[in-house]
Amino acid sequence: MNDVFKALSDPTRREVLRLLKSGPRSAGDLADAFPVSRPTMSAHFNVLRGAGLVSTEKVGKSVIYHLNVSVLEEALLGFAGAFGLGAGVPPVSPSE
Amino acid sequence: MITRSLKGSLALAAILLGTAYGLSLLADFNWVGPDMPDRVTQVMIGLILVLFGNATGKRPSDADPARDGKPGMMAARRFFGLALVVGGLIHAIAWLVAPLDMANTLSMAAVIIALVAGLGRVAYAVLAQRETPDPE
Repeated sequence: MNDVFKALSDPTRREVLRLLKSGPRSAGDLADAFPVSRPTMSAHFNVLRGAGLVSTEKVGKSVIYHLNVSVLEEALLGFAGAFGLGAGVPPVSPSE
Repeated sequence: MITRSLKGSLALAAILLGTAYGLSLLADFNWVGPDMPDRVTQVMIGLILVLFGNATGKRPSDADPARDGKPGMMAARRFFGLALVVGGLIHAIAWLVAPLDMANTLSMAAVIIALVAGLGRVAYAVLAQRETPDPE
């Protein structure tokens, strides 16, 4: 559960989950939607995958991300977004 | 995976039956009120619904992305899970606080509405999936 809280504490990761609500997307598509470097996005994806909030599927050369949240995790995502949790926290570094 | 879920389900059933039996024994000795066994058992049933509903939205590790793991189906599963969680919570709260006759009606109505809404959403997703041709 600690991994879930950690994953949801970052606004970029929450935004990734919000984008995935409308359907699965490739890693490249998701990375293009944010003004951060690919390694940084990759670190975000790793945190989300580690928390089990996304599942991945390999299609050809690209990795497709699917939303994979329980009802409680979705509610936590909503709460974290509503209260702007972690909005002032510096962005994650690729080495994380 | 199946063995683990089977063991969990059996353990849950044992806890439920054991609690109900224990409480009915206590009620026989007048150590708890006569409606307590019913209330506690029904609250537990509501909470079990919440537990199962909560996990419903998660994609099974063996789900085929091209079939039951498709995004439309996963969205329907998440909705079904949410409906079960809400229905289960209302069921548990009704049996916790409402008078017995009202608790029965209220809890049954909540669970039936949740099931109808959830299954309706899943049926809609299945039909939509059939009508949408595969991109391959």
